[in-house]
Amino acid sequence: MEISFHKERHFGKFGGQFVPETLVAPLEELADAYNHFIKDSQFQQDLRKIFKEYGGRPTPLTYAGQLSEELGRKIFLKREDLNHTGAHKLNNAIGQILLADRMGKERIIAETGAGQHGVAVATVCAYFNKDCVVYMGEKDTERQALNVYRMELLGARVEPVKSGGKTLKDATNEAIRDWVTNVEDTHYLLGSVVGPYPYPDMVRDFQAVIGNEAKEQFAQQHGGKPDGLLACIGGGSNAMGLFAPFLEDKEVRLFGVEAAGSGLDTGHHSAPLVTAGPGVLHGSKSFLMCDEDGQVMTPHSIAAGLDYPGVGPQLAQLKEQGRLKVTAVPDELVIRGFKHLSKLEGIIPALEPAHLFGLFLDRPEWLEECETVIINLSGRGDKDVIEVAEYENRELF
Amino acid sequence: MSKIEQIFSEAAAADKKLFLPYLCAGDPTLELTEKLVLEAEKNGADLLELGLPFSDPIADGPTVQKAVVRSLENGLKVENFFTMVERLRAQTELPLILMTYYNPVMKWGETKFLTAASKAGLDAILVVDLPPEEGLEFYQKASQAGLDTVLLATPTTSPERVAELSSLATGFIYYVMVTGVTGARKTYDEKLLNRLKLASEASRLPVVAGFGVSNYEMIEPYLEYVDGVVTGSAIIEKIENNLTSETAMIESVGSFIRKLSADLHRTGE
Repeated sequence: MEISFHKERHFGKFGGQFVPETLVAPLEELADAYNHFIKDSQFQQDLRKIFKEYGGRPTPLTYAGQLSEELGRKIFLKREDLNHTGAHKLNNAIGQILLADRMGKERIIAETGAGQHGVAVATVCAYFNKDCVVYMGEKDTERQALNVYRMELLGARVEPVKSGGKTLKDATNEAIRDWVTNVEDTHYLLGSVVGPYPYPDMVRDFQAVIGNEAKEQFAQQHGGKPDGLLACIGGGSNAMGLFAPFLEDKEVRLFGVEAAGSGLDTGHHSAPLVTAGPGVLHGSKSFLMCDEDGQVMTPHSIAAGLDYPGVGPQLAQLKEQGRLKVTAVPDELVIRGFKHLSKLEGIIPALEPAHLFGLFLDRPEWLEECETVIINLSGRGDKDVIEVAEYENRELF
Repeated sequence: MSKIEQIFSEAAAADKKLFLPYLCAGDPTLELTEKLVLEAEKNGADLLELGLPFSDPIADGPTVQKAVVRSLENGLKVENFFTMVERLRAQTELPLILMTYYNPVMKWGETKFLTAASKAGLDAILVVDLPPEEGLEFYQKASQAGLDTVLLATPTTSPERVAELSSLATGFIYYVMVTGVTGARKTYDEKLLNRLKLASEASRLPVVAGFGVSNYEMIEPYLEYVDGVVTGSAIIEKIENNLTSETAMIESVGSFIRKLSADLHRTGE
């Protein structure tokens, strides 16, 4: 194949394949497999079956009555918290393990921050009887010892990463290095809509089950289409999963919330869409938090799932096009949102989507004139209860 | 004819294998890097690769990663790196190849970065995570700025692709001897010899072998198919082991380079 620029591997000026030469051929192999199987009816049938019988799909769309009354808008929660393993992460893990299996890959590697993606990958590897290695920043293995143990129970090997800031970014570097070394028998099960092509497309397509279901459920339960969609954004897989099936519906507005951490002015945050310019990290061009020499900054958020200095390239494009409105919410409001939703609707949200309820407490007008809104409740908060208690200096044990 | 073209063509005529040590700029300080480059030249380096550190070096193993951390923690700035190269250029004609990742280049702006690199006196550029598909314009701009371009080929690169890479690059093809990251090793995969041979035959440019080279004996069987050899991590280990004494560090790096370059230079004789 002649060397040329591949427009279809980009999202406007974002995306692409910024990788060392060793990964060019394996990415080609992966892209071929993905483009083949995404259109293969047997693959799709198998995928739906596992989603339903193992993952617990479809997840419900819950009308949040009291929250709606409080906000003067109709709020619907897409209940990804009810997935097996407790978050939307499982959708992508199921999709990719099925693909890896079709490709004949027996060894699976993954990166994880808090451990949600790692647990999802360890889970599907157990289900498919594959070898599983999860790279996790050493700092995260200490903060999330419970998830490390869960992964081990599921048969995975958790590899603590000691380089850099010892968190998600560094775990991703190490997973890529493993993949560079073991490309022939290994599939890298990347957890978000980031990385080189085909990952942003592939992860989005496996997560699009969220938006597809929500679209149908909303039409049945309410009628028509929602005025707006709202999701938290770290790498952006839960957001793209909800948004993707609505991209052609121009009247449906897209809203995203990043992590303002300790505050945007402190520098301790994870809000590249709100604060940063373009950059290249982990194989694709997108918005990236880095200094004027291109050195990547260490992000911060109370929600480990949002603790990433970059963001999916398609979200960068949607923002640039003005299709996506973005803001950021600080840790302190997140805790309040976490508690508020728990009391109001009887649902303890993960700290990631808790950003959305924190936003409502502070700026309910931010959603402008939208009367009906679907929120991606991307995960449940069981994993965060201890962290919230610690934040409030409450001793549990 | 560029300096790099010239040195390779002279070496080919003399059947001499070239030695290209790699140093991570600013490890542990830019002042020491400057001294180490001069020491490398004195001990037989034919060309030198200067790594400009990036915070997230995905193609590098633990040894280079630690060097990058030392450099960045000591406050390395791209601007100061170029100033150091300028100082070096006043003292030596040694061909210098800049090796880095794309984000620092992009953040500076491609044109501004390339102009600064060329003005400082660098001879060539290798951007590890910028395959030609993403960098067609960039590599053209580099040539226009007077810099030779170097592209990577690996055991996963087909000979057809090596041929194409070698018609896009202008300096040489850097053949990555392992499917993996940088770092000193003891041996190579048994399939490597044939893959390297095919790549070497397909390349229209000189081929330089790197990644994993820690001594002469392990690279010796492959020399027939390459024009030069890069060593990085094995040199950085000498730096790492002598961080407390500048004199010992320079001596240790110098003697390693002296031995390996002497062995390589003897090959063709």
